[in-house]
Amino acid sequence: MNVRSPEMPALGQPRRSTYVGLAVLAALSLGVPTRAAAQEQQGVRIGLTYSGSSRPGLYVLPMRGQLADSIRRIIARDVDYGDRVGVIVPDSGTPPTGALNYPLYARLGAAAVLQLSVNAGGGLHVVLHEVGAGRVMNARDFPLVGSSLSADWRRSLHEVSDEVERWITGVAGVSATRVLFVRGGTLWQVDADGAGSQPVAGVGSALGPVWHPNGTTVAFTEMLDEGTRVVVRDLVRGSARRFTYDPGSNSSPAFSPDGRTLVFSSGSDGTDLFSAPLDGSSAPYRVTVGRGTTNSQPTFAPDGRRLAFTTSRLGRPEIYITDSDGANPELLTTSGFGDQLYRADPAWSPDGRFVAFSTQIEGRFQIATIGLRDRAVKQHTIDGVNEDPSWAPDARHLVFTSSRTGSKQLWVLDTESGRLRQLTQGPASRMAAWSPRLSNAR
Amino acid sequence: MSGLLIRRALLAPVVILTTGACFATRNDVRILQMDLQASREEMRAGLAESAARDAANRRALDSTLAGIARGLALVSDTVRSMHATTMRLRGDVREDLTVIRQQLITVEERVGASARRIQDLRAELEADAADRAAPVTAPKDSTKPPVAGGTTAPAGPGPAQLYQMGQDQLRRGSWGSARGAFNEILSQFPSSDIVPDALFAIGQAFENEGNGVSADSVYALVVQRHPKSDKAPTALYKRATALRVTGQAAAAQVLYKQIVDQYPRSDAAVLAEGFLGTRKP
Repeated sequence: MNVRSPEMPALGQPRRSTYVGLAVLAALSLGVPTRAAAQEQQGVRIGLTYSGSSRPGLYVLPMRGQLADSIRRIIARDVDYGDRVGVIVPDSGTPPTGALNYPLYARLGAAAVLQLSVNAGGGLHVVLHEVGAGRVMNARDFPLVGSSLSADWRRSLHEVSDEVERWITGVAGVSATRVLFVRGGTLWQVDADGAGSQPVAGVGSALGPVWHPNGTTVAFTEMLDEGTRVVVRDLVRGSARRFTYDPGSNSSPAFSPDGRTLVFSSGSDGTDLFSAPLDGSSAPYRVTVGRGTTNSQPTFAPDGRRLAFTTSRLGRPEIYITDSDGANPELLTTSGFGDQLYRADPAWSPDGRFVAFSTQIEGRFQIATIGLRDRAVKQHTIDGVNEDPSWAPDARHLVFTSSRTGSKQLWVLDTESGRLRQLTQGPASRMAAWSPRLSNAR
Repeated sequence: MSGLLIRRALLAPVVILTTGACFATRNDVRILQMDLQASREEMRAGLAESAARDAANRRALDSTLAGIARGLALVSDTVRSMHATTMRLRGDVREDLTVIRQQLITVEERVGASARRIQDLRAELEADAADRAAPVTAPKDSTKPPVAGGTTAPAGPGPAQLYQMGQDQLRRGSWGSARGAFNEILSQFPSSDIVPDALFAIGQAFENEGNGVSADSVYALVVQRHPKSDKAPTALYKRATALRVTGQAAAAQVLYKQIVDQYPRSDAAVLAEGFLGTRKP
């Protein structure tokens, strides 16, 4: 939403367009529940609060400087994509001076005001005002790494966005993350806001990429004439090593949450899951007893104690969960007698509460989630064919492959609001894997 | 002189004889030559006849060999065909066996799913029964105790219901509450067929809570008290895993071997074999 700054009338001659802008903003802001009704009641201060059902408004003030517009636009878009905060971005204007007119921002539907400025060291000085309380809620200087508009510089801003989101909601955003995916049979990566799409250098044919929790190492399946093998690659150093040596099919790797173990699918007469230490200190051990069936696509629970995976042991692909040592396998999704549904691509949410998966509904794959506590299934997509979900670190957003526009592209879904946005453009893209939170400090 | 005459007299017959012999030999030689010629021709004819006979024999032999070769080729083709048929049959049988094996696994899995569903239904039935046993009308004065013979006190949850409650608590991460529900089964329904599962679930609750020592004790109880239950091999496997991850490899090996020996057809045995090196990991 682009509107003019409400501070401008106080600084210069009021303009008709400004008032129109304010009126529109005010009208729009009526639809944004104000969660920051900071009040003093019987000695207890009720300040800025956040709940999943509402989006507190954040007013992003204009700022001065050569890259002011880029900085503001990137941060505002990041916070908006977080889907927890309603962002109000006025047109470029003069930054306010002196004390802020908090009641005015409250009337505009803003629970918080974000004030940005470039400090003497070239970093970004960020101030978050709590409108209801009429005070500064948080202030901090952030370094801006790298040359202007470079990937590192953009990531610095993404880190600012994530921190601002944490100040407001208590949960950090996921802007400083990347998404690995497969395009044209090789590996690509893109920033979570859809910018900076580029191939991963030195990778040939690749399928099913996954991130190591350290955010710098990835694993994927490499296609060869004699079969498939799992490869582990360091994105920073550019080095790669073959992880599996058995002939036949070796695929669908998954790192354990502590990053010490890699589970993968292997076999020739059917496949089973095997677990091996990442440092190769001991031989792989079996995790599933498929007895000739196909068992693949492992995904760890965040505590590392359990695994979800796809198996054909019911005669069709279904999702099971098992202890990570292979004991106690059980069907996760409910299945009726004669049920021929096809369920696959499980992804365990980082908060441990859900498993997202692809399910065949009326002949087409759709994205659904199942609650681990109540086993309640929720369908999230309807249009086109949708598959291969992967969770963002906030356990709220999913990236998945969708054919809704005619070609396979990556889309991001907010599982709480149902809001969708397209992440990739151009040639067909699929098999996305959302990274953990990344940092330039790594 | 007389000597000379004597020698001449002696030589004369020799010369005569020799000359005469020469005349006879020439004739004889001619005869001999003729004989020889005849013999040669006879021999040549014999040889020709022999060669013809050999050629005939060779032809016969070749013909026989060709027949044998044809026979062998026929046999070879037959053998090859039989081999192909056998291989095809083997493949078909193997494929059929794989399909049957997968169908068996599917059936086993569906039986397992059905068993869980039956357990859920049992829990629902128990809940219904408890509801029916509950008083239909509440006493007007709730401070007064119910009249004897009047409304019946509500029945408590049955074993299946308790088990389901315990499982729900396990999923929620409420380990203590889960153990409470499972312990209730052990104390209230000690003869229920669900007891081994409940005992095993208590072990799981301890394990998830990070209390490995208690978990190990409970898993040991599962094996000791219910050695024929489905949970026994898994409980042993859990104990072995705990030993392995804490670096007690030798003790873990003993338990892995015990699983393979005592429960060879269980999934736990297949998992354990990977640690014993008796099966490709």
